[in-house]
Amino acid sequence: MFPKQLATLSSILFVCVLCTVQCTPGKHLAAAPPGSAEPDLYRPALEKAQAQSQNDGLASAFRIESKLSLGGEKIKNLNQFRVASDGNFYVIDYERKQAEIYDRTSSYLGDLGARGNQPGSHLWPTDVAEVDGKTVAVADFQSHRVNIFSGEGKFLSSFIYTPQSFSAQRMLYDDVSRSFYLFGNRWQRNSRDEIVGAELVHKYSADGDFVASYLPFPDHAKSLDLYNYDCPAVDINKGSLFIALPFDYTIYQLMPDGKLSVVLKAQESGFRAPTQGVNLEQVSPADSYKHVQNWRLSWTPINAVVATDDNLLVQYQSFTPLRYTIDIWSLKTKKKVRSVNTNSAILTKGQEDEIYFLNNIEAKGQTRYDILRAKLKTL
Amino acid sequence: MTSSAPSSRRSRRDNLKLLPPILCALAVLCVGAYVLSSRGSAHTVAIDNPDGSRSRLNIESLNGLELFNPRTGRAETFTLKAEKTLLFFVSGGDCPTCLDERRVWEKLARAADGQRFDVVGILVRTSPGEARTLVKAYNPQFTLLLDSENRIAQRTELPQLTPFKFLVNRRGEILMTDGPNNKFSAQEAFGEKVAAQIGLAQAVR
Repeated sequence: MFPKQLATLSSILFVCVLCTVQCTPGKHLAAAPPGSAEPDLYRPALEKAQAQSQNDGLASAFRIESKLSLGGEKIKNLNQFRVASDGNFYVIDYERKQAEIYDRTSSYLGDLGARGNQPGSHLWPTDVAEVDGKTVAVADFQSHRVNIFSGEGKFLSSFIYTPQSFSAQRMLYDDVSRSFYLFGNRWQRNSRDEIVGAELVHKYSADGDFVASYLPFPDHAKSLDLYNYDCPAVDINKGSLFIALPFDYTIYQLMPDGKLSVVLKAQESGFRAPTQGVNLEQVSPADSYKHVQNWRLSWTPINAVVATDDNLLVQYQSFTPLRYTIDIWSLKTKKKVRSVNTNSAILTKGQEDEIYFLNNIEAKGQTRYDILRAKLKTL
Repeated sequence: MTSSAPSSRRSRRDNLKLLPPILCALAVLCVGAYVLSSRGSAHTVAIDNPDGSRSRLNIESLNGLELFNPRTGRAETFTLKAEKTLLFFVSGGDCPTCLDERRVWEKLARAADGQRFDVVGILVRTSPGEARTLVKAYNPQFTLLLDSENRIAQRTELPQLTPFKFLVNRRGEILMTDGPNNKFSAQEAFGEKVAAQIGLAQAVR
């Protein structure tokens, strides 16, 4: 009798649950929040790129010299990777908002600064740069400060860039002119206090004195409201700064004397500029990341620029189906020498013009970050 | 024969009648104590921080503190001399639009005579070099002192977020407070309230 009663009870319970779900007024029939039906195009593109990894063309243009791995148990989002003169590496983890030092064997050595908003600490480190071959600077987006540490991580000094009213997304240090270059939107406003543009590059002396701002936000990108997506790809070579904005295949060169010019502007390449902006107002917060990634798939954001004495490398996300395309230009002829498709993202250039690539399909959430050290072959 | 039993019953009854008002008084005392402890005394203010902690800032405790004047390059003793002082804490890492509020402070500082009203800013979490950068960039027309040795933290608790403003009297009693504002309208609104408190005829707008 007992099993029969149990079966009856279970049936009644099931029917009750079914009725509750079906009859709860309106709850399960509530309109889906805006954006929740948006398909995820980004993840399938990544999977497709990874499935095509046997066609990776990196080795056809670069000589892979060595590999190293950084453990993913610590690093959640490898945003910046820099190489010091002594062979140590500096890492910015965007997710943990931390700056760290690793040695050449990939062993964690320590943190660069603690969390905080006083000198020597940071709230949101966004970039790191070696200074004069002996100290290391960390730019803080939120505290508008650059902290300078010894190579071992001891705090030495700091300067603020607060009066210039921007937040630094990127930073480079030029050993030739002994200058910092910080990158961020320094807003320009009209008499009605409305934003009409921004200056994007800001130069500081080694002591942190402001020198000047350069590179106005391009007019053609204002109508698409791309200010939030203008984190530039930058590199320095022999005192000249090379800059590319993600949405525009125009490579600017800023000389030490402040002269800004266009070094090349690609007419024919696999690059596609955005044709529309991104509107997050109609998107639920939970879907905003997906929405932005999907939008980025509609064009080919430039994510890296590397300048050597002879060549200029421009990398953009193309999903051809491999994730990136690297255009290799001759700086002498201003002509494209070749293009390669690869899943490896350019991380940085080293002291001897070697280039470091991230050999993972993504920079976040990896159990291990594989980094390739390579040199451009003579083409 | 005594009448203790009936009188004790009456006494107990009388005592019981007193119980509700006593309980009410106790409740009022408890609530009052809680409110005061959470809000602080007239000299102390409790400020909620973004990380969920609470800073209890006592302005009176700052009297006599040795601070550094980045403009003169000399040490100065902090004292509340004026009848009312607009005192604010700022740091070099403050959001630039938040520091736009200094325009309101400048306007109020024009009314400062040092006796009836004064405007004093204290730089915290800022190095001497950074203080010089701010002075050079903004050339503030009010007294600006620097706590480069973190002496304030030895006497009281600073809020995590700055700029934080207080209107205080000579005894260090806090009359008004306001946290960081990056909207100019809110910054001006606080300035208007301060102007009204000090009897400033002209608005700060």
